[in-house]
Amino acid sequence: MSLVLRAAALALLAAIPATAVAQSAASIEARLRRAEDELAIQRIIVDYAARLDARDYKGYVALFTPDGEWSNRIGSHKGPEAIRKMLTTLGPEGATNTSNYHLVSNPRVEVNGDRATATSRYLFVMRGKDGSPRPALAGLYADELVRQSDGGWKIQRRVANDVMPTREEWAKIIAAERAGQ
Amino acid sequence: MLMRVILAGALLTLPVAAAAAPKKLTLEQRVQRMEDESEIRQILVKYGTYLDARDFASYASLFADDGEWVGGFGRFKGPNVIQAMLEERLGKAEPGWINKQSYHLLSNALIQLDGDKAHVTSKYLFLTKPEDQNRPVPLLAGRYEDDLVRVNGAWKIVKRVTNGIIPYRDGNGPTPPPPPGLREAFTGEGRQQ
Repeated sequence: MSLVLRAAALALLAAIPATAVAQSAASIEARLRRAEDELAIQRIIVDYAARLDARDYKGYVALFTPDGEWSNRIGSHKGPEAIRKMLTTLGPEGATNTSNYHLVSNPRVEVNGDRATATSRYLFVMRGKDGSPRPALAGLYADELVRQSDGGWKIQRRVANDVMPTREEWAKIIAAERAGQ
Repeated sequence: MLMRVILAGALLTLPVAAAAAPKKLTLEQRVQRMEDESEIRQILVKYGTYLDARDFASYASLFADDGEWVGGFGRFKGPNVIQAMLEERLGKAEPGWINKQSYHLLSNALIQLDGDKAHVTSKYLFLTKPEDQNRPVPLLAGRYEDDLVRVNGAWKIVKRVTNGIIPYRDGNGPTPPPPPGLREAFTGEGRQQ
């Protein structure tokens, strides 16, 4: 075999595995990124509850895109200012919360490129009249999320659907408690 | 080196790749992060399993040699001290004992990794079966705040602070007496099984 042929054969042999390795690395990277995306979105779902329960309104608002929207059956709050205003009905920012928390669970995440949808459940637990924790409100979250230019995810839309009690029943319960205080 | 160039090439073809992971991490480092997070989640769940089984030896083994327990009974340091304290306060389980009256529901884990260290927050709801009711009733709702460290390749708890929310108790504040009936709720003492 001439030197040229031998060199060409060697180059060919080298080229095939290198391409295969590159493709395999790209596909492994894509699979890893998918798993990371799912985890990142699950983290947002939990972080949401952490910020809310800690009355960290700044952190809560930062989980949403600038055009982000929070809504339920009786209202919608769109953009950082509107969302922040909605939160202030819970009391002053940063106040120590000694009376309730959100347990979140059952996350389902579907990533589609730079967009994702997620559903999860919440159980809102309040201090009962006897001082013990009492499940007060149970419901579902449905989220739409968008990947940001820095790679992180943000919520573009969250819909909270109360199951037990319904939103209308809950509004009456809260009004009665406030009136009784 | 060739592998590294190829991997870098693969990363370049996906501009948003660095996405969920902090930038400049290798594929292996990113896999390591996933594994670390998964292992830490297992520790949080094991903690509840051993606690509900009153298996305080296994429970204490989740802590590092200088691991600290801060909660409703005070502050305790080191696995042996933690094990002895809980066996004294909550009683050692008899062989074959099966818990039929209480459990910890654990959720809302948020894990922040920093190399061989991690800071973790999570929530618990402790449910018990009161003697006069045949159903789970929430007794305590709270929040764990943990620091973990990797020791010889395994994650261990360096500090766990248990903060009560309902009833409220600042984990780092002074230690009030534990709620009445706590031992009985754990052990099932004084009630028909």
